[in-house]
Order: sequence, then C-alpha cells, then structure tokens
Amino acid sequence: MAGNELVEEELVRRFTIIYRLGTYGGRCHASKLRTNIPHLLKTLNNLKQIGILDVMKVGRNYIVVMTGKGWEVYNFIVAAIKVAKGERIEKEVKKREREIITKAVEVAEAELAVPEFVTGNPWISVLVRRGREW
Amino acid sequence: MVRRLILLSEQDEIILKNSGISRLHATWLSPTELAQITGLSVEEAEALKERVRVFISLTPLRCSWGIEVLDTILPLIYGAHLLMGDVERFVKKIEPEVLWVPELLDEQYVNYLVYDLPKEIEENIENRRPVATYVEAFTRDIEEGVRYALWTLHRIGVVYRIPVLALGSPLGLKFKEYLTGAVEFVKTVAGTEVRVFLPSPNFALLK
Repeated sequence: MAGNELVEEELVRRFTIIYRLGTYGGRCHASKLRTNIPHLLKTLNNLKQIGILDVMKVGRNYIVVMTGKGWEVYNFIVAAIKVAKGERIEKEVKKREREIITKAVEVAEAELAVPEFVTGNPWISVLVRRGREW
Repeated sequence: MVRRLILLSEQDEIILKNSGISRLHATWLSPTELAQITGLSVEEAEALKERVRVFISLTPLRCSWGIEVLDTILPLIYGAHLLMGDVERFVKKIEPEVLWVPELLDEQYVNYLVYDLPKEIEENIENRRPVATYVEAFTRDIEEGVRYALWTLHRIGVVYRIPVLALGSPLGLKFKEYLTGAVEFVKTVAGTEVRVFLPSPNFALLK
C-alpha cells in the first residue's frame, strides 16, 4: 500500500510539472514549477530520462524545456481535465490540437507563422537570388 | 535528430543545391524569402517548402555570461535577446565565444542574416555558438529593417537552438514578440546597472 502511495505521489508530481510547464508555454525556470512540489529536481530528472522534458543548468538556475513527447502528455492531461470537468471532447478537435502542439515543437519550431508585416516589407525584396535561371 | 526524411524529386534537389540552401534552411524561410532566393514564384516556393520540410529537434546550446548574477537574472537560453547600452565587454565574456555577424549595412546585412549566417551555422559545427550582431544596420526604413532583422534572428535562435544577441537601442523593444530576453546595461558611478525587461523585470548592480 505504502509503495502504491509513493507511486501515486510521484505520478501526481510528474503530471503537475508537465501541466505547469505546458501552461508556461513549454519553457520556464524550474523555480516556477516548485510550488508545493517536493523532490522537484529528482522528478525533473525522471521526466528527462523518459524524454518528456529537457533540463538545462544555467548558472544557479535550471531552465526546463518541454519536448514533443511532453506536449503529447500535456495534451492528454488537458483532455483529462476537461473530462473531469464534464466538458465534451470532440475527437477531431482533440486530434487537431495534438497535431498542432506536436508540430509546434517537433518540427523544431521551424514552421513559425509568417507575420503580417512581411507583406510589403521593403527588406524582403532586397534578398539576392542565388543559383541559376529555371 | 532527424525525425522524418522524405525523398525529394530530382528537380527539387537541383533547385536547393543550386540555390545553396539546405532542407532545414528552406523549412524556416518564409515562402516569399524562398521565392526571392530561388527565383521561383511565391506559390511554387510554398509548394517546395511543403515538399522539403524536415523535422529536426536540436539540443539547446548551453551558454553562460561568465558572470553568475547575469546567468541568474538573464539566462542565455535559445531565442533572440535584445542587449542595449554598454554591453560589448559583457558579450566578450560569454561562453562559448560568440560568433559575430560582420558589420554590414542594409541589403548586405539582410542577405547575410537570411542566407549566409544560417549556412555558416549549418555547415560548420564549430559555428553553432551564440550569435551577436548590431541590429540597427539600416540607413533607410529603419523600423521595418530592425523588425525584419529581429524576426530573422528569432527564427535562427529557435530553429538552431542558440541564443542570438541583438545589440541595439530601445527601438527593438517595440517588437517583443520576437524577443526571448531584453536587457539594458547602464554605467553609473556605483557600477554597471543591469536592467532586465524580458523575460521578467529584474535588476542587478555589477561592481
């Protein structure tokens, strides 16, 4: 029983960290995740080992970054919260949300939306053509 | 780490090879930029982007100011950081050593940022370092130029997972959406004041 409680505590810690990290946009100081989470670094290391997040030590600080796998788990947690609140989850919406979030990270965030100012920006037209004629 | 690699048609490979851009580079360029560089139409460039897209996730580069208090209040995580004021001497202490963008102006500067800099980073692993540049390198259309430069630096920082340091004036603060960090270094009698605007307001005095 005691063993199970420990597992449950660790699971709750993990879910809490993933959820908080997700709400911070997938990147924040570890200190922001600390509130009411004992053994934070140990849990962060466990999550790092299974590829949910990455932890970088910068000076005295730890910066936590969510991975694509982490976003998938976050999405499930958000869906579970919705179910617990009695909200209905549309399958398609859920699938689309997961696609968007996974893409946003796993595509190395390369698919950055093109902002409006790009249209008509005088500096884009000065880019030099490379290579030969087609 | 390459997640998925779709084989390209011979024509696509020739276009990329002749233009001298990699698939990753083509992935993050906007269709308009890709069209300008390759000579394709915007529609063709958009279709090419879809076909050449790669899924890559690099490990973020770990960097340090070499000064503990700065690492605490302004960690050098990947993305674009606006550095204002008397900052050059602090940039020189950053580890690993920064890769300086040559001091170019206008067209030459824009072309270097969009085309040459990513090539340098991709083609030589030793160049995967923090990048530093004076972002106000425009003699006309200054605001549009700074905005475009910051957007480009932001994309480079995020895609290659490196901190990109844009040295400039408070004009850059108008474009916070592209900034991961923003800080001003001000020399005073007591020492150098470090006024952090982003990610969250903070302050330190370096003696």
